[in-house]
Amino acid sequence: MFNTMQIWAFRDLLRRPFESLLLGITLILTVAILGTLLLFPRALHDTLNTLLEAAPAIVLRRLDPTGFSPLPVQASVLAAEKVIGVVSVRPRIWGVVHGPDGPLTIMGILEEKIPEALAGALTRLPEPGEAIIGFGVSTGPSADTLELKGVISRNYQVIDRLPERTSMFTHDLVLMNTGDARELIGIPKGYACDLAIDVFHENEQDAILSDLIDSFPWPVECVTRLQSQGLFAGSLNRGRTLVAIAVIPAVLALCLLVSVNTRKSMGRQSDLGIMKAMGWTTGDIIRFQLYRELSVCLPSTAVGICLSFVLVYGPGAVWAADFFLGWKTLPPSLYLETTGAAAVVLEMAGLILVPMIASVFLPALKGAASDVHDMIKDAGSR
Amino acid sequence: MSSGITCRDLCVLFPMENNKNRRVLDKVNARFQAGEISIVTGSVGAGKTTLLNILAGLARPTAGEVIVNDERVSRWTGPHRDRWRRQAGIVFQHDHLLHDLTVLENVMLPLIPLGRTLSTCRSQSMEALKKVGMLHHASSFANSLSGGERQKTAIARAIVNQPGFIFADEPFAHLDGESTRQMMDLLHHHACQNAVVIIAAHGLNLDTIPGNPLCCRLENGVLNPFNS
Repeated sequence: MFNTMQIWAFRDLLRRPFESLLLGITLILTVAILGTLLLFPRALHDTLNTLLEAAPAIVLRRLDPTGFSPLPVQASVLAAEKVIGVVSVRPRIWGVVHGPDGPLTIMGILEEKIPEALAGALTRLPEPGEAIIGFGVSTGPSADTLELKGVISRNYQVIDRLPERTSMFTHDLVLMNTGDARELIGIPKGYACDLAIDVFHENEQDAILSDLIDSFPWPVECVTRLQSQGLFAGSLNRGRTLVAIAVIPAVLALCLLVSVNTRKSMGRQSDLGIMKAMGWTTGDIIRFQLYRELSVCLPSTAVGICLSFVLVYGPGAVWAADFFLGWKTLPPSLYLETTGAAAVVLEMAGLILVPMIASVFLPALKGAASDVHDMIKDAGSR
Repeated sequence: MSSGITCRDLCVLFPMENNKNRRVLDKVNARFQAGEISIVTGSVGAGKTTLLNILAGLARPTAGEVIVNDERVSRWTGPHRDRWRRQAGIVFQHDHLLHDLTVLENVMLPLIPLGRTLSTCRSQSMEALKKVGMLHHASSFANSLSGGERQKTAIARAIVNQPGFIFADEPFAHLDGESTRQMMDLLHHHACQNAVVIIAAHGLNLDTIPGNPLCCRLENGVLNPFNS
């Protein structure tokens, strides 16, 4: 399975077990930190993009002098549906209320208008006084009841918890009967908070905005998916800049590691000279050192990358979310996009393996250019 | 095995501090035959080590050539000389064992790049250690050995690969009379198997050398043969 040179290289590592272990641990931690720093903004970006793709093309809200106000469902749906290019109009009843552990988003659910993201996730719809909660919602002292404070304060019976796979969309969501939702956020019957509008073509959403605004007898505000994307992109870019600054010390640590490794290899020139005197060619020495370094670097890089994935996408995300975003509660699952994740893996592998391998080549190539006698001269005192 | 090594007009100049050169070897012409031990003697600083380094391809001459089997070895590039050294066993003046390797691992060193299995390398090295009487020290670390034991280990390392050329620089400096005789017999045995064995030594009792050795004295950079 392994050739003699590979076994010899591995034995060489074991001759300095403490040094090898220390190098391995340092590499794992450096890769894990760098990987997390590179992976987290990408994960946020991919997650937000996925969320926005599932969001309606246009969200329409009624304006009045005090801000937003409820809109009459029947008249609004009729007004929106007559605009050419509109495919579907969904009135939504939702709002933010106080839960036991902080703010929660409640949503009144109509049987005929179940959002696409929740299709298949609901076993039954909530009756009055019942609630279905998202994966990240904490119920407080009692597991069966949830106290919510909005316009009124009331306890609701928790009948189900949405599965973790829908966590990206439903993390802090409480689904409830439409009547209960209206009552909690103070929306009168026959009224909705906003309209979720889907259009025939994605690129039409900007074009039909003016028609949509004109079709309503009262002032409305429309937010398109593209506008939301732009808004989030701005805050993501700010986050990325912060991450880029945080990457600098990690990269410096890596440079230091490589430089120490190169210096260590250079310091063994006399040993390399003796090996050459014993019939080792430059190629043999490069192979030997390459096997030795890869025996540490490859597993360490792999473990470090896995660790960073666990930190960002797994249970460790609590730490990352707290550190980067200040989220104290259980964060939602982030979306793992294969291409983006693969790019980070390649980036990491390149960042770690290329300099480490270069640090192996340098002493061997220096040795190739000098006489063996000169290489072992400094070992004369042995 | 080999037929011999020929030196032709070998010159080595060492630069000195006053911008002048010191002529260490001055047009050395010699032929070292396989089958017999060749001894190069001379006083300290006469250039014996330099001559051996050049013959072994560890350093380049300033002028002249080293010819092996009609090949001008001294003109070869580094990689060719590295590969050629696989046929050579070298005993250094300072043994140059690797400190963090055991005696066995030090002896195995020349065999590792040859593509043999680890068990073959191990058994071959044990055999070489047995020949020099160091088998009981196989698992000791090199830095725990005495000067004589280190020298014996270095000799075992030089002969482990059954080389066609053996270059030994003061190989008996730390050995007692009996050990010197044993090591000399061992090197003579290799010479008899058609290897070129060149020993650089000063103060060596030439009567202890078995067979019919070629003896040369290096004086003022010139190599002169003499009868033992």
